[in-house]
Amino acid sequence: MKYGFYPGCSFKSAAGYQLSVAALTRAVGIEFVEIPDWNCCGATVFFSLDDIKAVALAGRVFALAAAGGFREIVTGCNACYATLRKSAELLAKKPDYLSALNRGLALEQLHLAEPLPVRHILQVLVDDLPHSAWASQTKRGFESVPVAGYYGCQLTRPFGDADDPEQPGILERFIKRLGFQPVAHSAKTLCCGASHGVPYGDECSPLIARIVRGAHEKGARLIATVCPLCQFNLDQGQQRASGLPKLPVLFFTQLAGLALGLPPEELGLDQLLISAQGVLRQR
Amino acid sequence: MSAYQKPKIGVYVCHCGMNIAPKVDVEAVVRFAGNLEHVATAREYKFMCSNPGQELIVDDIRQGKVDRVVVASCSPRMHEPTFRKACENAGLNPYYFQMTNIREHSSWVTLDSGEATSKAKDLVAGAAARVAFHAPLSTRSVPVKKAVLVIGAGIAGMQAALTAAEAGFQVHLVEREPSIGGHMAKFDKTFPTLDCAACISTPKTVSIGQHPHISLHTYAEVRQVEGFVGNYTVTVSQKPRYVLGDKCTGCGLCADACPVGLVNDFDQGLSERKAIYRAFPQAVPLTYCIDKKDSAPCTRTCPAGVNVQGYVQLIGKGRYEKAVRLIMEKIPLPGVLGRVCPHPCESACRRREVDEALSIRDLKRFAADHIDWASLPLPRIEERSHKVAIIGSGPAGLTVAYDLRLRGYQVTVFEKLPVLGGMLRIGIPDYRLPRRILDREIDYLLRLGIVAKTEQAMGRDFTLQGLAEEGYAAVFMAIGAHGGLKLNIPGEAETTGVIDAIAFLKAVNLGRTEKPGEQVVVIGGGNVAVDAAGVARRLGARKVTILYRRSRQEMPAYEEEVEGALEEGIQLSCLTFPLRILSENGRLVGIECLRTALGPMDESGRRRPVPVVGSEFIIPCDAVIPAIGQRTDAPWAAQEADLVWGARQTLAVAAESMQTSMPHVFAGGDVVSGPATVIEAIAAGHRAAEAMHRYLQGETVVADLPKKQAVSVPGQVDGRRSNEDDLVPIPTATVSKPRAVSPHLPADERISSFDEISCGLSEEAAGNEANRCLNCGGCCECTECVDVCEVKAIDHNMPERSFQLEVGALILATGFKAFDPTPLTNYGYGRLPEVYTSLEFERLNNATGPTAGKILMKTGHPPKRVAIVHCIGSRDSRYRKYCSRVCCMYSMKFAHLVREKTGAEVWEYYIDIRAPGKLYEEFYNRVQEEGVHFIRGKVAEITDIPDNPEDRGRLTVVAENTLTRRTSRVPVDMVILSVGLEPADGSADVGKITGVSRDGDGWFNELHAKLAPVSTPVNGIFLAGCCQGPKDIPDTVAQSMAAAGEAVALLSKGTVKTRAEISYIDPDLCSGCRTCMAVCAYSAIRFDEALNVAKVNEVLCQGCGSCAAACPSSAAGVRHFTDRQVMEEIEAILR
Repeated sequence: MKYGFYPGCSFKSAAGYQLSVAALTRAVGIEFVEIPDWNCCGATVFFSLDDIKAVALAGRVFALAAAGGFREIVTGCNACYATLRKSAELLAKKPDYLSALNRGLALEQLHLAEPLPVRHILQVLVDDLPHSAWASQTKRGFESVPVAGYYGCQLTRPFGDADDPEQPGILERFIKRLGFQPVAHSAKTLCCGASHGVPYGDECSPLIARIVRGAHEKGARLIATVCPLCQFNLDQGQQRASGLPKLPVLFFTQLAGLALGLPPEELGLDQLLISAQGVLRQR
Repeated sequence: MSAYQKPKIGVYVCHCGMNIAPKVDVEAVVRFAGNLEHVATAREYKFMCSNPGQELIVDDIRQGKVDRVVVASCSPRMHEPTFRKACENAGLNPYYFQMTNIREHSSWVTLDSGEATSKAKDLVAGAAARVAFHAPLSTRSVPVKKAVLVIGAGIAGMQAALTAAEAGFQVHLVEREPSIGGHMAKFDKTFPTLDCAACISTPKTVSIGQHPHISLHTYAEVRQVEGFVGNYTVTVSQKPRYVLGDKCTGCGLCADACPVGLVNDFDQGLSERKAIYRAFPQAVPLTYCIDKKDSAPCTRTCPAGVNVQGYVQLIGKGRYEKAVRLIMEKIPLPGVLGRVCPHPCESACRRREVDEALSIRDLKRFAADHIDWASLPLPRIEERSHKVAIIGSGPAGLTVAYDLRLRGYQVTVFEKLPVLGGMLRIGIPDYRLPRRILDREIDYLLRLGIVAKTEQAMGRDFTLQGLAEEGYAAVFMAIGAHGGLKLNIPGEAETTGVIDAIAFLKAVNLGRTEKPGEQVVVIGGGNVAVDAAGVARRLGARKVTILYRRSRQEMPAYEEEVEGALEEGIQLSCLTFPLRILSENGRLVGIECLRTALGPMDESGRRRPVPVVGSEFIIPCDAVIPAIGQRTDAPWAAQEADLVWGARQTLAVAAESMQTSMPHVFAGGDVVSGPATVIEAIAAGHRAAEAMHRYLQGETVVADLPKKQAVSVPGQVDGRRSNEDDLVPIPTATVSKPRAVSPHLPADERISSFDEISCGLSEEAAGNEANRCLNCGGCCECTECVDVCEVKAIDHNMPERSFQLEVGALILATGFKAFDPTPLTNYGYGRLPEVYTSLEFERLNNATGPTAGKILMKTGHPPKRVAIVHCIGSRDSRYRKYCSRVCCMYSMKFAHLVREKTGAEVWEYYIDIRAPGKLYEEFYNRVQEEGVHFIRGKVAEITDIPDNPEDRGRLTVVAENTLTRRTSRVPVDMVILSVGLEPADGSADVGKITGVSRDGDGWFNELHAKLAPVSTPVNGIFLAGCCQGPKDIPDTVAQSMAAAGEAVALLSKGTVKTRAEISYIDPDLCSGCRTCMAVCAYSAIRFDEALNVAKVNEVLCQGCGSCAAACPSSAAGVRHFTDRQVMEEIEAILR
């Protein structure tokens, strides 16, 4: 299976995300093909100022993907996911946006007939691969490792349709499928501070503490994230703050790689600020 | 019209106050009407429906000015009867009247005054044109049936029933639950007076049970309503409660004895009840009820049809002997199956949806190993004289012997070997099935009077002919498949040291103790191969290797057996194919093999092994045991030429009856199926035994034989899968618990002896394991209740009952259901344990509830801080837009009760407080004075993540306080969600059955919102209580009395008038085709054979017009809607 892949700006620099996705896709036999010449999705910034310009950025990505023969776009970042989906919704709803976009795209000999569906890597792994892709591999003794799934705020709302907006369960099902023990907790969709994590670290500290404590109180020893910024904020946020339990924060793809028995170095586990070695060794 | 007489039409145009007049130019309409053909007079009036308005019409008629009347006003729904009555009073046939609606059809819905006026003129023209062709019609009076049916026995239905019964009419009260009282029976106190709900409703439930005029039908539902006002025939079906109401004393011994714990719906799932239960101690009727669902998947899946859920529950109760007896209803060898059954039941176990399947096989073994077989009582057998011969004493043969012996036949088993048990004895090693287990169970069978003759080989010691001559009336052939298949590779035949696995296992089981060799190679991937390897290892072989040509995944042997073999040091060489046996001087020295790789799938769905060229290698060994399959060995086949054989050396039989080509000879087990499992052999034995019994009784052999299963419980004989919708739902709160695992001997101890590997479950483990059972089938049919019931009130075979009632009027009182807040995930219901719905809290408050009326958290402590959240599901555009009317009041009642009982601090989160009713506002004030906090704001979120460490374990309620304009975050111990009201489940069906329409939200439509609030558009059917819309108890009771009053008023008249607007069939035009009879929904048309025409029964006809539309010869028509009338009206409007 081949997918048009939109990495977004933080995929390559996120701790082990790119490595683990590469190792995992090799192992399960799917291919993420980077959309050629992709550009920034605009994140939240442009939408605060000018809808058309914001839509144009995402629209160009759609046009490039369509020109590349892809029928959908897969991304691994919650912000990209939400931004692309918001643009898709606007382009589908407002014909004048679409025509404005196509006037611009014409300069590059590009054209967009209709926006493409956008999915997250997590949805591809859960929905497109058979249960058996993981099931035969799951006797690795991870059942004793309690993992809290952390979705962040944008995967399920306001533009996502992956699951229930408040209490999603898709990540927990995946964690269970991988042979880990999913933990029920209430911090799944709380805000991590997003891009404020860097310039306003102190203000974000209580947000991160809420999430980490919420997961830890329910017995989690690991946190699995689906978004580069969530991972970064939780990982470094715990480092900065005092009095937090220091839960390792892994990408769900790193967890999946472990479940398949891939070597930790291929999954970039050494790039985590809080090492997962201790927890994984205790199993 | 008779002889043509010019009609004199009076047109009366109504202003309807300001409703018609300002928009429609009434004067213009009157002028217009005055010029229409045949119109004698045209008038206007402010309110035509008023007395002076009607007087205008009456005077004109009386003075002979008019003999036809048109009123242009509002909808005929309300006032057509008014004006018809006026005409009649003035001496005019009421059907010389036509009403046209210029309000709903014109003034209310038209913006432009000119257009409205123009439309009104058209409508008046149509009516005037039509009325000229009206004919005088008459109605008939028919007697009414003086009985009332009330559907639903909550407070509304009970009150309606009591009121009607007090008036002296017979009342049938139908309730779908096993007991009456509805929601009110679950409440503790009622607002605003804080009366105890039980104190005010139990007198009513008691009166219902005792009233001479009330027939109570509980656990019953209305299926069909036929007829018309005053004359309804109602079909009711009543579910079996399996307890006889006239015998049950309500003592409760049965519930104490019942092992099955289920979620108690009456307590909203906050407690458990038994499968035999009564909602609460004061329930009416007090008769217990058994909650039976479809058979559990385990029971349905068992090839032999064992009541798995039943024996698992009996084991949980410690009733091991009864469990074994229940198992032995279907299988003669419980301890054997408890060891070697491949347990298909466990694959079907729904516990897998929670964690893991129950260890059903281990439980069966546990029960069989924990009874005293020597003293196990023998069932009473009624002897029959027929002699039956069973050939072969394996599981199939023993099953038939057992089944037929229990039926009284004289059974003799012929066995070739010196020992009984067939493959169980000689094919399965001791360490998997100890011979003492087999012995004790076969001994029991022999105690039943089964005669066994060993060392009797067919063809050698007896023949079928000989058996017949000895008086055996029927024979069952169960000779199994004891011949091992050959490898057919070079060196196999001529080399000593090659011994086929079955021969090897047989020799060992019959006493051989020397090892086959030092280095043994077993060829094959099935259970026999693994057994042979294990036996070789125990006999002292140093190295044992299993060769298999596919990969380990494809091995047919059970995974646990393979795992065990590996632990015992047995080696597995997969993807290996034997080429030839190597020997030196006739002595085996090795086996040459080839590596294989897996290719594409073959017809068995497994990947085909493909040889890898040039991969030959040699495994040195001194013994080779092929275990690649068995077939039946029948050296006598030529002697018994009448017996027809099928493919692969199996006996040919009829699939259902197991009858062979010789009518008195039946066969089953491996000899028919080829090598298969013990449980399949037993299933085949049951089929054969049933067929043989019929054969011996001279009945048809094949008719209605159970297909795959033979289950004795009624309704379960078809072998289908369980109906998922009719199983006990898996409780959401089920806690994951590990499956019980029978401990195994350590591998090093195992290989030094033939001791049983699996040690069996401990008593404690077995009990805990049985308690993991989800009781999918509800009642497990263990019949413990039957054993303890002193008055013999329990009948597990009670059928569903259907009966008809004749009534004159119906009252619908089907009530409401509480909104399920699960979809509002931000409130955490179902996820956060201390979030309750209001109905759950009612139970928590109730003396008969799970906490005996104490307000306690799940920790057992009273809460110190409680939040009550209003408008859950109500006034919410995502769910229900309407206000549920009762929630504000009951929420404040809760606040008061919490304050009173626990002293806890209470926060009410509300949008508006709705307290409109007598003493309601006063109650609101009182609760405020009691110190309850009222926060105006919709709650955003309820979370268990605390803001402050000291609030750990508490819930935080997050809301915007719209009065202070601040975010409010309040830590509390308990949250009550004040859920709204929705129409009861099944009200759509009741609507369909009775013909009463429902509004967009699903509530039943009243005839008129203000003036006919308890009537429905269906004559003779009335509404009471919440089925018409949310309302509180005082309003419900008032409405119920009103509905009963309406019904009584109708019945008291003694007669009802039939409709005049009914069908007629012109006998001159009728061709006798009977098309009309097929379309008539009221069975109102009968056929006159003498005249060959259809005739309308004027009492039954409802004037729907289906016959008129369907009649191919235009013989059928509807009075008052003749073609002429309708066409004149249309033409005048379009003119």
